[in-house]
Amino acid sequence: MMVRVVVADDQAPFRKAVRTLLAASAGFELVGEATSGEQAVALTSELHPDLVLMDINMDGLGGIAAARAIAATHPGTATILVSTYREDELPGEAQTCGATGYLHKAELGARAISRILRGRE
Amino acid sequence: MACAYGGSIPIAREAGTLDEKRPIADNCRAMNEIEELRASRARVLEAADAERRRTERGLHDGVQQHLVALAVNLQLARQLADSDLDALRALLEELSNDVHEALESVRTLARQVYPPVLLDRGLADALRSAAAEVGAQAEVTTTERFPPEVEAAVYFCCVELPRPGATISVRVEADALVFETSGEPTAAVADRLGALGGALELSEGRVTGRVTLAR
Repeated sequence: MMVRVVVADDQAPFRKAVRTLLAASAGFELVGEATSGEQAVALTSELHPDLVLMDINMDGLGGIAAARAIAATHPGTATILVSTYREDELPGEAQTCGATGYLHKAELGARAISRILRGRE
Repeated sequence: MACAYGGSIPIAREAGTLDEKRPIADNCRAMNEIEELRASRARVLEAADAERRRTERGLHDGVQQHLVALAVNLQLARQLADSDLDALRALLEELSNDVHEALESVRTLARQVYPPVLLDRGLADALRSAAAEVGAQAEVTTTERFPPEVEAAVYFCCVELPRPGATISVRVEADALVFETSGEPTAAVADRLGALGGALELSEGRVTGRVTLAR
């Protein structure tokens, strides 16, 4: 089954890297890109992706608040928070916002994503 | 209208409570100078913190983002090494471009923190290079090297001010290094010069800064 993904990050280099990564990874399809939490929530309502890769630090509605909104309104969509924080530096709300998991950006890869999604099933 | 930073200091209300044996005008002056120094010190700290924040943002939004993208692409490269060597070759090309972009980010940030050309070649070359970047012109009539704190003060004051089309001129006048340009000087510019005992004057849109040289 193809995993349909939205990436939300205000940094273009990361979005570009995700685009390249998913294009070359069997089983994933990038269906949308958002540059803010608000856009991520709106795209989720519009596209109903299976997964949102959500940067924690974005202006306006940050990634954690956006993940909370998605968990409340689209429980079928998994959200993986991403950032360059070490896990012990994550804000407490990252654990309670309804996100499926967390990945350090440098560790983002098809296998790591699949592992988190399998844990959700 | 002309005014000079540090030249006209408002009289403090508490001035009359100082040493009664001294003339009240002296007390007022001393009090006001202390107040001005306190304010200046607070502004210098504020400017240093703002600079740190700007550097942090520069690292986060520039260098770190490129490194993150490289790390993600390296994960992909590992994946492709087992399955698709042609795609891996194309990705390595992209990685090479990403490395160049990351290096450019580092270079830009380093130049903002302290331009290497100022340290290596002095004020004239550093100002010409900085002016060219904003479409301004620098006319520096001295190639002499000055103490690093003097070169840095004049450089950072000058680069903060000019707009496209403006001219920055720098010259040695008797025992002072003098710069002239146009623009709206901030308190930080005045504080930087003030810390070296220099002065800043504004007159009809022209800004003149002066730092006395210890000869």
